[in-house]
Amino acid sequence: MSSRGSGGRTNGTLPQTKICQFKLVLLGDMAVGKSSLVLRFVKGQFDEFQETTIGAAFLAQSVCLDDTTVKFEIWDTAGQERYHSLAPMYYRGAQAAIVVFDITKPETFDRAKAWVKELQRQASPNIVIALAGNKADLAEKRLVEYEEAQTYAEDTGLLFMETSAKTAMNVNELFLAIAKKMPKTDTQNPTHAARHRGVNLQDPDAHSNRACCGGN
Amino acid sequence: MPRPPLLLPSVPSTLDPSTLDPSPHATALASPPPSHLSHALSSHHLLLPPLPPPPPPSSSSVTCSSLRSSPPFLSAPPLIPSSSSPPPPPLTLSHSPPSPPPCCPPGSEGPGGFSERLLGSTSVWRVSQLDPEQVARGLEREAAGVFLVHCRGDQATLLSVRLPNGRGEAAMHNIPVKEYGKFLHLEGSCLLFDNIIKLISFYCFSRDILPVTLRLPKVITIAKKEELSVVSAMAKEFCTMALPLHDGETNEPPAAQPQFCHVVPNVVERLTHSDSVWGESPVLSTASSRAADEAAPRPASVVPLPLQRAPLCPQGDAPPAQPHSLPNGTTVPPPDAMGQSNKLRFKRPPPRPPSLCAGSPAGPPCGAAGGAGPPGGVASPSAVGEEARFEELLKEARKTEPPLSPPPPSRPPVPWQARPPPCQPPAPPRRASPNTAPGGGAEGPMGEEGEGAGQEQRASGSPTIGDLLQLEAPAHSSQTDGRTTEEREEEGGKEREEEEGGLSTTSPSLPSQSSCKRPPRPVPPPRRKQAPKPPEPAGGAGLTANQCAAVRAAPPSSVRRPDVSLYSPQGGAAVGADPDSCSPSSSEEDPGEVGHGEEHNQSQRSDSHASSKAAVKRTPTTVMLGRARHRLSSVLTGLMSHDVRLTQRIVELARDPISYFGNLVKEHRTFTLETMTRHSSTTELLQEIRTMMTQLKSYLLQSTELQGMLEPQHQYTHDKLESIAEAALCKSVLKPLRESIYLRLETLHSEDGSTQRLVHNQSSVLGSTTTALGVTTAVPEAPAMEKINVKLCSLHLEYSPQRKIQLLLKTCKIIYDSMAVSSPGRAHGADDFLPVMMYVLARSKLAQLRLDVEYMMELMDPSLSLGEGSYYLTTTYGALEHIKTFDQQRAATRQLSREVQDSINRWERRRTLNKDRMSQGSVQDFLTVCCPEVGSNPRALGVLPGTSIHELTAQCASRFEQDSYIISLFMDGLMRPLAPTELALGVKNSLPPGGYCFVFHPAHLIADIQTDIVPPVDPKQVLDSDGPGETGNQDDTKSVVTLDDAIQEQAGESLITL
Repeated sequence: MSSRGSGGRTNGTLPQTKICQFKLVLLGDMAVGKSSLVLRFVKGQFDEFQETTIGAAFLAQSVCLDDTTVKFEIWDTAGQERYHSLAPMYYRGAQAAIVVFDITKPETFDRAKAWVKELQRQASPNIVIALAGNKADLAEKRLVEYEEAQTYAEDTGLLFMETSAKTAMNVNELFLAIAKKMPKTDTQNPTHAARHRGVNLQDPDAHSNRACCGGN
Repeated sequence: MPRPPLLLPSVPSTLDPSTLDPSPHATALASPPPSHLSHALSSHHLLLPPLPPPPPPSSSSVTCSSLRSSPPFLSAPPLIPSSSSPPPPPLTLSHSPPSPPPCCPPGSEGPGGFSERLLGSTSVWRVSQLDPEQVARGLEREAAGVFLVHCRGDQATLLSVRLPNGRGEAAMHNIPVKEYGKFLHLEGSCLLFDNIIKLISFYCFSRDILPVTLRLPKVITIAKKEELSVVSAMAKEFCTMALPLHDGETNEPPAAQPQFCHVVPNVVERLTHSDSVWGESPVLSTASSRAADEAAPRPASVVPLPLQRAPLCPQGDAPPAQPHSLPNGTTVPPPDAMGQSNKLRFKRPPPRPPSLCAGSPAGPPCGAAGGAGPPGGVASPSAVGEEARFEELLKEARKTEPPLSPPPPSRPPVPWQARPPPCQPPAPPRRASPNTAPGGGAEGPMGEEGEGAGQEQRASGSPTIGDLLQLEAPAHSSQTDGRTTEEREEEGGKEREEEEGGLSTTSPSLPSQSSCKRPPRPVPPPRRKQAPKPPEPAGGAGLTANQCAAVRAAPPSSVRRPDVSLYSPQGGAAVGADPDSCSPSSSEEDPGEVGHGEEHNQSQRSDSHASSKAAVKRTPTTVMLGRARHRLSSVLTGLMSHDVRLTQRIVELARDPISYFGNLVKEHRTFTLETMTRHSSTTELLQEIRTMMTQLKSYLLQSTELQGMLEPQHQYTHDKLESIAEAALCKSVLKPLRESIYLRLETLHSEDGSTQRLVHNQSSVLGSTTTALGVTTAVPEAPAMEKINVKLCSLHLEYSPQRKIQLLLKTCKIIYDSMAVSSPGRAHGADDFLPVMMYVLARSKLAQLRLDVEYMMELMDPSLSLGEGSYYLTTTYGALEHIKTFDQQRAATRQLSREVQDSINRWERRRTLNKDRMSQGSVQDFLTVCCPEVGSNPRALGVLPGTSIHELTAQCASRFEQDSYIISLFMDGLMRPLAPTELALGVKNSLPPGGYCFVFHPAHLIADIQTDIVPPVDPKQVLDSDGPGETGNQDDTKSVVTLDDAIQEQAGESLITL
C-alpha cells in the first residue's frame, strides 16, 4: 500500500503540520520478537499518538520528527514457514520494512537475509529496510555477532540496530531512524516520494539496493 | 427586544407583569356586552367577505391549485361560513411556528423572539371560559391589537381583539375560531392553520379579515425570557384565583378553570395536558361553536357554522359534541374539580379522536368515537388512510403515554404553574412539528432568515428527531411530543417552542382544531404556500384581507422552499418537506426500507431517540436527567442528521428518474446488469462496477445537483462530501445490484472450479490439527464460533463494502478475544493470529466468505485509506487463498500460486492507481458525450488522465453501439474533429466549462457542418480544426452570417438536421 497522508493535502501549505503516513511491514522468523518489538515501540510513545487497534497484528503509531508527523501503519506477518507464501501480500506497497532476527538464533539471521533478498527483489524498489537484531539483552547467549550483521547490513544498504524489546534498547531509535529515512514530501504518490528521496542520505542505500537486486 | 414586529402602538404601560393580560380579563368581566362583539364580527364578515383564495404568488400558486383540487378540504364547509360571499377555497397555513420567526424579522425581535414570546405567553392570551364581559374588561385597557383567545364552556372559541379607540363603539372585535377538518380558521377567512399558535402568529403579521393585526401586550413583548415565564406563571395563577371570583359573579368561571388549567401546561405532563386539552378542545369547538354562536348574538356566525359542518358531517358532529359540551359548560366544575372536568373533556375529545388520532397522541379512543365523526369527516376522505395510520401510531404512542396523560387532566394547576409558560402544550407542538415536517417549509425559512442558531437546534434537536420518527409513524410523534415537552422545559422558550408552543397554545381555546392539525400530511402542500407569518408585518389593506393574506403568505413559503426545485421531480410531498424536518424523517424511513445495510447507523440513532423519548416520558423526577440526555441526544442527532439527510437526499436524487444524476445511476445500473454475464472473471466484473461508482461519484461531486442539496449553513469538507456521496452511492447502486453480483460471482467461481477446490481443501484444513496450523494459543470455543459466524453472516448480507469491513473487524476482534483466554494480557501478533484465523475460517462458510472478500476488495472505495481494515482484509484473503492451496502447501510448495500473487499485486496496484487518480481530482474523470447531435442522448463516460480520444472513441462505440462514428468537439458553433492521440481530459481541461460539448457522430457529419460554417467564420479555425470540412465549399457558407450567434445557430441546426 502506498502511504497515504491524511494531511497530504495540507503538506504543501502547512509544513508545520505535515503528516506522512507509511506502511511498515514486519518480517522475520517466528518468535524472534517482532510483535514485542513493535509493542515496545508503540507503548513507549505518547498515548495521544496511538491508535487503538483490535489486535497487535496491526498497529498504528505516530512519531514526531521536526516539522513532520510520521505515522506508521505497522503490518505484522506470521513468521511460520508455512505462511511464508502470504508475506508478499503484506509487504506489497510497504514503504518500510523491519526484518527481525534473534541474535541467539543464527537460523533466524539466515532467514532474515532471505527476507531481505526477497524484499529487494519483489517489494517496492524504494522500500526502506531495517535489520533488527533483537534480544540484545541476552548478550551472553549471542550467536550472531554484531559485526557480522553490521557488515551484512552495510553491504546490502540496510539500517541496522541491535535491539531489545525487553529493555527497550534501541527500539525507539530504530523507528526514528526509519522515519528519518522516509521521504517526507508527498506521500500520496510513491513516485513523488522516490524523486524527493534523492535529497536524503538514503540515496546510497537505494543504489546499493539496486545493486543488490541486480546481483541477486 | 422581541416583540411582534407588527405591533402598532405600545401596550399600555399600566400593565405590570403581575397584571398581565390574564388578570385584566379576570378582573374586568364587566362591560362590553357580547352583542357588540357579535355585531362587530358580523359586520366584519359583511365588510370583508372571504375573498376567493388569494392568487398565490408564483410559488404558492401550485399549492393553492392543489388545495382546490383536493375536494375534501376545499369543499369543506369552512368557507361556506362567510354567508354572502361564495366560499373561496380555504388556504391552509401550515406551520406558522417556523415561519413566524423569519417573517418576524421585520423588526425588532430576533427571529425566535416573537414565537417564543407568543408561546411563552400562551397562558396570558389564551384563557378558557371567560365571559364576554370579562374579556371586554380585560382588553379595555390594552392597546389596539391586543387579543385574547377564549371560549366559554362548550361554546365556540373566540378571538377577541382590542380595536383602536377610534373605531366606532366597539372596543373589541370578536371572531369565532372555527375548525375546518383538522385545521383552524377564523370565521370568514379562508386561511387554515394547524393550530391556534400558528393562527395567532399569522395574524400578528397580517390582518386578513381582522381590523387590525394582533399584537401581544407590551408587557410580553418587552419581557425577557425569564420574566416571560414568570409572567405566564403569574397569569395562570391569577386566572385560577380570579376564576373563582368570576364564578361568584357569573356562572362561567368554573368552567373556565378547567380549561384554564389546560392552558397552563406543566413540564412532564405537558404531553398529557396537551392531550387532554386537545381532547377537550374538539368537543368544545364543535359543540361549543353552536353554543357560542347562540350565546354571542351573531346570527351570521351561527348560521355559517351549522352549514359548514353540515356538508361534511351532517350534524353528526354537533349532536354528539353538544351533549358533552353542555354538561361541561353547565356543570362548571369548581377549581378543585378542574381535574375532573378535564378528564371529562378528555372523554369528549373522542370526537376529536379522528383528528386527534392523527394529530395528537393524547386523544384517547373515547374521544375518537364522538368527536371523530365530525373532524374525520371534515378531514376529508382522502386523509382517511393517513389518519388511520396516524391512529395506529397514536395507539402506540398512547401506550407509552398513558401514564402521562392521566396527570394532565387531574394535574393540579398550582404545582405546574411554576413552569406554566414552557409547559404549555409541548405535546401539541410536537405534533405540529411532525405535521410541519411533512408540510416542510416551516423551518427552512427560519433558518435562512436568521434564526441560525435556533434553527440549527431545531434541526439537530428534538424537532429533527421528532420529525424523523414521525415521518414513519405518528406514534413516534406522540413520543416526540413528550420529548418536546422536556426540551421546552430545558430551553425555556426557544424556537422549538415556537413550533411546539403554537400547537400547545392551541389546546386551550381550540383544542379540537389543533387536534385537527394532525392531518398535516394532507395539509402540507398548502402550508408551504402559505407563510403563516407573511413577511409584511402590517400587511396590506384590510379589505381584501384574504387575498392580501394569501399573497403575503405566499412569499414566505416561496422563500422557504428553495429546495423545491431540486425535489420537484419526485413529487410534492418529498419536495414539500423541510430539508430539516423532512429529510431526516425520510432518511430514517429509508433505513428501514433499505434494509440491514443502513440500519447500523440509523438504528443506533433511532435507539438514541427512543431512549431519549423514553426518558422524557418517564416521570417528573427523571425529567432533569431526561432533559440532559435528550439534549445530548438531540445534539448528536443533529450532527448526524446533517449527514444522514444529505445522504438521503442523494439517494433520492439517484432514484429520481427526472434528474440527470438519477438517469446516470439508472443507466449504469442497467448497463451493469446487462453486461454482467459478459465478464469472464470476477475481478473484471467487480472492477467495472467500482469504476462506474467512482465515475458517478465524480460526477456527483461536481454537479450542481449536489450543490443544490447542500445546506448552506452546514459546511462539508471535500472528504466528508466524498464519503457521504460514497455511502449514498452504495445505497443506490450496490444495494440493488448486490444480489446479482453475488449470483454472478458464484457462477464464475463454480465454472472455474475454484469453489470446489476451496470446499475440498476446507475439509482438509478442518481435519488438520491446531499444531499443524501453527496455533499456539487458545482457539475460539463454540460460543465464540457462533458469534463469529453470526458476524460473518451479517457481513455477507451487507451491501456496503465499508460496513462489510467493519463487520470483518468485529469478527477479528472476537478471534483476538478468544485467543486471550489462554494467555491473558499478552498481545498477540500475526504469528499467533493468522493460524487461529485459519482455524476459524475452516469452520465458516468459506465459499460465501470468499465472495465477500472479493466484493470488499474490489468495491471498496479506493480513495479510502483502509489501514486496519486493509490489513485484516488482506489477512483474510491470504488465509482463504492459503486454504485453497492447502494441499499444495503440504506438498512443500512454499509459494502461493502465481495466480494469487499476481492477484494481490494487481489489487495493490489498482488501489494505488485509484488513489492517485482520486487525489488528482476525480472531477476530471468524467466526460459527457452526446450522440449523434449536440444535446441529444448525453452519456457520461469515465476517462482516465491518460485516455486518448482514440480510446474514448472506442468507449463511445461500445456505449452508443455505433462503430463508425467519430468524436468531435462542438464549440462556439463549430465542430472540431479531435486527433486520436489527444488526451480526452486534456481537451476537456483546456476548455471553459459548459462552453463545449463532445459529440459522437457519423464521420461525414463534420464535413458538412464545417463546409457550412467554418469558412465564413474564420479561416484560421478551419485550419486549426484540420477537419475534412476545410476543403468544403465556401458557397455553402453564404447563408451563414459572420456573427457568432448566427453561426452557432447554424451549427446547431445543421447538426440537428443531419
